[in-house]
Amino acid sequence: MDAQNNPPSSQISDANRATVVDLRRIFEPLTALLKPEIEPIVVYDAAAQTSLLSQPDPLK
Amino acid sequence: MTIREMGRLLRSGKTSSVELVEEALHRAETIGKQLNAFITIDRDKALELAAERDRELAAGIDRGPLHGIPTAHKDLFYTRGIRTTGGSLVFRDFVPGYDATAVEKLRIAGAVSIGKTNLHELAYGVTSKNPHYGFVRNAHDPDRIPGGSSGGSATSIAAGILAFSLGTDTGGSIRIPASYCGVVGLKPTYGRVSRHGVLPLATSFDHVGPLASCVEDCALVLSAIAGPDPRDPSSSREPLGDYTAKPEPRLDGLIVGVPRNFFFERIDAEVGAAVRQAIIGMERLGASVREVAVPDPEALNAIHRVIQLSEVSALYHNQRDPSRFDLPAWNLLEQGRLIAASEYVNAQRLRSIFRREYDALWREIHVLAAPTTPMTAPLISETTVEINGEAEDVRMASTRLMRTANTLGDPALSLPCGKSRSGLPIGLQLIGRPFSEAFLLKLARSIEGM
Repeated sequence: MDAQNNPPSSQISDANRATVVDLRRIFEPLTALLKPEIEPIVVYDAAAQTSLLSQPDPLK
Repeated sequence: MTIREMGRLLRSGKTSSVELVEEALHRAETIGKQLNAFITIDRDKALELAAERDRELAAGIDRGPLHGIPTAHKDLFYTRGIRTTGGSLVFRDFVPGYDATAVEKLRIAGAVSIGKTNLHELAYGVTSKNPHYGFVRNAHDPDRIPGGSSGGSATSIAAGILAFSLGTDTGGSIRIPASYCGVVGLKPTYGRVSRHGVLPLATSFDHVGPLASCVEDCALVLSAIAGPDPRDPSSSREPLGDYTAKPEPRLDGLIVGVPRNFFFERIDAEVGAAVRQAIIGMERLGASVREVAVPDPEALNAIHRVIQLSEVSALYHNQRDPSRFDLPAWNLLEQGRLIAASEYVNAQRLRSIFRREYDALWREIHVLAAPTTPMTAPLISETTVEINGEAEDVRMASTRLMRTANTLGDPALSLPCGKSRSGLPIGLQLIGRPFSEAFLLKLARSIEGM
């Protein structure tokens, strides 16, 4: 790791730390939804992820 | 004037591209200057290109609906030989050697760029209060923000300077300014439009799309810029739709989902009433309206924030000097440095779960109808807004109803659906299943005509 590219964590303000702590409070419980065997890491691809590509246009 | 109206005048010989571009330049240099809507105006290049378009028309060469029509690109799009600042000091002197694919496609379609529109710094925010290139002002009320990050694009359209402009949307940056400025904005499906040559923000959420004065103009622009691009591996090979298909007089058979949770909670009463009125209008045209529980938008917002904070901070990991950034942007970069790698990866994995949940919802309904933003455009001086007696940060409130569509990559469109008592525009948001832009645009045109 290039230390030059990583600002010392001590420089990060308390307010920004508090914001991330608040975000974690909402995010952490969501990870309980994850199961190692069924949620692989994906590079997001809207076409590959959806199962709806053959749905007809309702206004046609 | 709309693109079609300008096109008719052009082809009937009642005006020329040079005249249209000269008028747009004049307005950009006067009204646009008061609104801080532009970072760069390139008068000579624009008039030179307009003259070329006129010569082509005279010789019987017609490039299509955008031929000779003036536009401008958000200053996040690479433009060959013209600096691309990203609204930031970091890129103050950056002059790209090539055009972004979307810029190139618009040029090939005949559009004439008059310059680059102002934006929120690095596209990382919603106010467009840009300390480096000037605070962008809302054409409806210069004391108010236009929204962002594509603020200069939206306010230029609202001020009648342009009929359309390119924007980008990572967490609402097309739809928020469309809502606050009373114009139409479309965030297409992730991958529908190439992002080659666009300064990235959060790469797994970034979208390119049009802002325009009406839905048909959005459709014409999308027709020109959509499609796969070998230079953007994330662009999709899914077939294109007929984006300019005529709207249906009736909406029989259409099932409109109205969120029972989240989207109508904590919104301004006038916004809620206008959006519900638009939904009643769809019902009058034959649509069925169904109240639905949408899979946890609050969770999707948290997932979006974890990923966005991480991806943007990764992009700017070597930036060490806070003096090069406005404080809000620097704060977000700092927050991103605190997110653990495991949190980022798990947030990406959670997207797959919600993708499946929304796929199930799209089997029950054809479209979700909701407000774009919970309130009308805030004052420039406000950092918080009060909604139903509760104070909320302007950025968090503006993005609250946005992030679902970015996290999923689903298409979402904002169109005006009325004004508040104080005359400020209100936006209706339509969210659809992946790659349903043609349907969304057709529906939006039906609503526009109500």
